[in-house]
Amino acid sequence: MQISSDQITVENKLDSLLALYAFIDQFAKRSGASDDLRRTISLVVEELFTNTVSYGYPHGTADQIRLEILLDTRHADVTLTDHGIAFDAGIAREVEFGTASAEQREIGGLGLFLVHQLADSVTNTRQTGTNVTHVRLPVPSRDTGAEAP
Amino acid sequence: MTTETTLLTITDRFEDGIRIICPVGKLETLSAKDFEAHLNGALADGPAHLLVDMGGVDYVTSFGLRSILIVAKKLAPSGHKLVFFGVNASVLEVLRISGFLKIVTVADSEAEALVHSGASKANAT
Repeated sequence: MQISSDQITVENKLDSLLALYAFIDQFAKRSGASDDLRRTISLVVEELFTNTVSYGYPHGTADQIRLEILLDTRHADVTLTDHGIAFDAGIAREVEFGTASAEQREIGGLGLFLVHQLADSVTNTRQTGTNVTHVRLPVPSRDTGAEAP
Repeated sequence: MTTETTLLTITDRFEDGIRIICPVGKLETLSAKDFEAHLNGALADGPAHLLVDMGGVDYVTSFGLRSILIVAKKLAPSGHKLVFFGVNASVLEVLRISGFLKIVTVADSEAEALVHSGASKANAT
């Protein structure tokens, strides 16, 4: 696996997920990241992006959202920058499920919970109308020993 | 803008008359409704265990989980379950941390999934 970084900027529409997935797949291939790491990055980006697009623009304002991925031997740093309403994804989400069966289980609230469970850290900063959400993911040990394909 | 990109294709195959649903791709925001609609279609003839070959599913996000839960809630009153097999490590981890291992049955193999579905007792004709 190689130390790499790349970025892409897309419109604040759910259809932009297709471009983001293609970008992540290419990035993972180029850097020699494992399928496990590629899937985790994809999931985190999907959850954060979908959340921002769904709730960040109550007036339907057009925006450009930037995704940056930085990969080194120990971490994958995923950073999303948007100009939607203030929202702190860094606050840990608790989902109460305990022993809930399907009938008792509530729908919703899972996205950010998953992000927090998979990440080493989730932080959010807001400055002059810009949200920067940064997620640090652990790189599985097998990635660091793996040869790039 | 990229168009016509298929995120998830879903087909059915039958083993001894038991339907096995075979999604291939990503089960996420844009594709979850298709998955849910397909599972609902499989229940059109009445409630039954639903077997899903997850071997082709790359990853599942919260929207995918939401669709799984909606179908599981429909099945629960009749005592039926979603039975997954061929689940990759990433998907299994997401099912585990989200508490979904209590909501779906994850079998180690197709043969085990068929046993869960009661197929082993069925007389194939």
